[in-house]
Amino acid sequence: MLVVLTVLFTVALVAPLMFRRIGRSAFYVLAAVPAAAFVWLLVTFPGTQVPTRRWPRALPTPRRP
Amino acid sequence: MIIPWIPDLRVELAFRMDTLAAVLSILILGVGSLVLFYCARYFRPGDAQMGAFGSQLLAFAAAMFGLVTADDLILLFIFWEITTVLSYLLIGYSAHRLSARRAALQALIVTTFGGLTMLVGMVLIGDAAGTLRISEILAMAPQLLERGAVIDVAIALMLVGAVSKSALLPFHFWLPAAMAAPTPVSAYLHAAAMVKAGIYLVARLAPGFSESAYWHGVVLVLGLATMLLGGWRALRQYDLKLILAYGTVSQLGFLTLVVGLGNREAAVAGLGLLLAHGFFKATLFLVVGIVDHQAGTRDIRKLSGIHRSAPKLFIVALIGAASMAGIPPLLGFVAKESVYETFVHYAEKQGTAGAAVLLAGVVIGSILTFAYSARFVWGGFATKANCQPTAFKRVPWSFLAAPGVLAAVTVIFGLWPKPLDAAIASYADLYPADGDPTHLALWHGFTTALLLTVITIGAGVLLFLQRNRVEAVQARFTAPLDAERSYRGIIGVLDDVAVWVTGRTQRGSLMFYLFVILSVAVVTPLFALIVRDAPLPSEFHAFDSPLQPVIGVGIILGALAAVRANKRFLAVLMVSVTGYGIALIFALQGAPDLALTQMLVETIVLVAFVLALRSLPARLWQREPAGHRLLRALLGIAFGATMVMIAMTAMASRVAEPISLAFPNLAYEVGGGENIVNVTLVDVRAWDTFGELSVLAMAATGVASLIFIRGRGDKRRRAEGVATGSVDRGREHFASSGRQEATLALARKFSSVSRDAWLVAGRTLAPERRSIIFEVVTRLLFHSVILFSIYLLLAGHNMPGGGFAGGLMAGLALTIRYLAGGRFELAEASPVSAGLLLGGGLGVAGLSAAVPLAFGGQVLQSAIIKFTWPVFGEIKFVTSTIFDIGVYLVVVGLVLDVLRSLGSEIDERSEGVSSDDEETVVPEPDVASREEEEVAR
Repeated sequence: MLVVLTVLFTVALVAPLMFRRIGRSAFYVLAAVPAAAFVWLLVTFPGTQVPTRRWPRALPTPRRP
Repeated sequence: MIIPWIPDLRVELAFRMDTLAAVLSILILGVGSLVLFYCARYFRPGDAQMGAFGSQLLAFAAAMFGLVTADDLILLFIFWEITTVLSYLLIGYSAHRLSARRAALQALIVTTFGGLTMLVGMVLIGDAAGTLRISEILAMAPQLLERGAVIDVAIALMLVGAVSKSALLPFHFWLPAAMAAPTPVSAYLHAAAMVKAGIYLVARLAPGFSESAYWHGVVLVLGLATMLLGGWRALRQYDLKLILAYGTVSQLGFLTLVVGLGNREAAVAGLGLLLAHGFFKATLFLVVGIVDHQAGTRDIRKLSGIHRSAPKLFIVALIGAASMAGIPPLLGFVAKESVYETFVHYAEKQGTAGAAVLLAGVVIGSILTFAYSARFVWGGFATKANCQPTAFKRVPWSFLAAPGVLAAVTVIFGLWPKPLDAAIASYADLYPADGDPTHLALWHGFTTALLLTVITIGAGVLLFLQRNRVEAVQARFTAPLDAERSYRGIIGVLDDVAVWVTGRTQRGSLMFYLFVILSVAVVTPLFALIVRDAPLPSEFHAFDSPLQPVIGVGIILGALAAVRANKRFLAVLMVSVTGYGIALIFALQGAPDLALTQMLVETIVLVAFVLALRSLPARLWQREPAGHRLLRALLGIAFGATMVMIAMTAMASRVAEPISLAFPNLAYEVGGGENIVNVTLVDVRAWDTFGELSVLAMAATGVASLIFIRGRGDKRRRAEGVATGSVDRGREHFASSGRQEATLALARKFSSVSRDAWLVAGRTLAPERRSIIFEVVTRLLFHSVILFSIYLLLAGHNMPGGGFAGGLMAGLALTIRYLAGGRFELAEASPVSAGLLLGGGLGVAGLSAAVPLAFGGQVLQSAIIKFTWPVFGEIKFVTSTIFDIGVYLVVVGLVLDVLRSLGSEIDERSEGVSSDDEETVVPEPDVASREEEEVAR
């Protein structure tokens, strides 16, 4: 996750240089970054379905106002 | 993944990818990628600020990804606010348009208000829970809820953040106004990402806190009201984008209502609807962008026959709108069917009037959704009897690809929702199972929900057919309460108060300001000293060495001369005498490093003062009356005496061993250096230095922004092509006698040589401005001074010097180049712009702060690396030197900025050839300008 986050921010930082060099085609390069992260997400998604810490299954008696 | 950040405050870089985060990430990354792809066709070659736009959009995706994966409340807040700032920049893309700036500011104010309110809630709940980790707080939610009011209020405050971000009542107005942004921004921020942040927060908190006191009051009531209001307003819009904007407001209310209901069924339906909405709304926004791009308008009264001229685009739009309307077999239908099931079961179980009202409200809202979906398709694509067919350019496949993919996803997951159902099931597991498990499915059988869907479609068709009557009713009916009007009223009152306060405090009188500042500085500490009965030292040494009083007398004389001076220049010189005197006292006290830095600072400040003085009259104002002078003298003496008292009291009040005693050891053992001052600056208290660097960069930018009208004025003309002797040609009468005239004529004749003997651009200066001695000395000194500055930088860890002193020295070298050769000489001496130096310096310092994290260290932690080089022998390198390089660059950038602003630019203006004016070019209207023209209100 930290790698994805770092790569996204880093590419965002250097994006203006890309636009200076290749013009609006740089959008394709930028699009490839979240696309790669999206693929990573799909590949790792099954692993995320089982949280290591279950959040509360049951709640105490409701306290409606 | 957890990295300790600020352990004392329990703040961590904690990330967690669970089902909810993954579902949101699908939208953020998937839709984000498609929107960026779409931008390549949306923008035209040469459109302004594309680089900044692309950078901000990708950074926005990163911030949203961080927001949904953050498992720490403070970290979540930071990403939350990054999205706020980036959305401000993206909405205000067409910065030259007032409407865009106003919409951007409105979104910023509203969402920042919500964000800060949310922060208070976060701090409250973090304090009560003893942790800021979101997963731990949710795990202990039952115990926390037992604490009563504190937690209830904390959750309510956090919901205010969610409500403002997701544009729910009463903050809904910022979203339609934000349609001033380019369409890709609307497609991403206002359909898939930013507005979902609030929904995410509600969905995140709901499993633990949906039973808190104010939850249902905020989530259900505001959600339903927003859904109905947004849907109703969408039916009177003529701009395709505004139809979608109000539709989005409505859908966000709907989503909040569902995910906030707080049961297992609602969790499944809510996440299904979240995905469906992201897909179809992004599709429709992108379609609107294409329509606007190819037809030149988004006004449904002007669009006609597009379904014939762009059939593929029409099919894509039809799929998106049908999904939004909840027509089978699309994903929107699947999600809405599930929502109906949820609310039918909820009404059956609760058996209360409130639950029935909710169900009825959801159905009415869905009828409105169907009607405005139909209005969108009809308005954008139908052939209208009273309207000429709209000229429409062919849509390239690459332009249509992004909305096409999203529409395909809507169809595929509508027909086959099982993968989505499986993916979001574990989020639903957070709730207790009650009854049969719920699933996303295309067919649930002949159920009440299906009947409600039939009613929705039938009533929606009728409402659409009666669109003229609906418009007429809406035109007659004026809402008694208008949120946007209220917002403007509040901002207006704030403006008035600010003007009132400013008028009474900022009177434009420097004397008044100084009087207030110094009076407060005298009275407040003296009051504290007297009330606290502060101690004074028992022993008092007048001086340590006989030179000290001599220098002290010199400082006092300098100060008196500054007060008595009748010319500004003389006053500034005398002030510098006091500064140099203090530097001498530092040197006498055995602090050569401080003395050196003070000397350099004094010199640079003197140059800056003198440059700035050129814009002011030479003589000071007329003398004040004697009474005023006496008052000023008394105030000055009182201030000095107070400072002495504070210093003496501070020394006498010590109750513990001074921390400074530990510094030598810290510097040598931990920081690996012998110069305590430098090691303290770049290692022991490097955080402070980093803050100071930021302040320096901001100050430099502030000076530049005051002088330059547009930009930072970094694009400078080079000397090449500038005529010899043409710069700063005196308009004053230099030659008052025949002999002087002859001298000037000779100088001009001499200056006609084209060769640059000593300086690169010295020849550009008018001969009467040149000094050959100064040029020669500058030529001889410049490189030596630069080398010396680098020496100071590198040697500073163990000997007097460091990045700050080195940077000032390099700045002085640039100063003499400027003074000797003029502004073109400065441009030649500094091929790198001041902005790049400032940014680069901050970047280097920031990197040196962050890199230790990658090695398992702490922020700004330094390391000592020893290695052997041939010839040089054993070398000890301390990594904090890299931080010092950042300091060096920032200081050089600051001096360069001051020279460019107060020097070069004022030179140019005095000659009437400001480059800033040349840069003031009205930009070509871009795509965003064209499209937001009609939207802005």
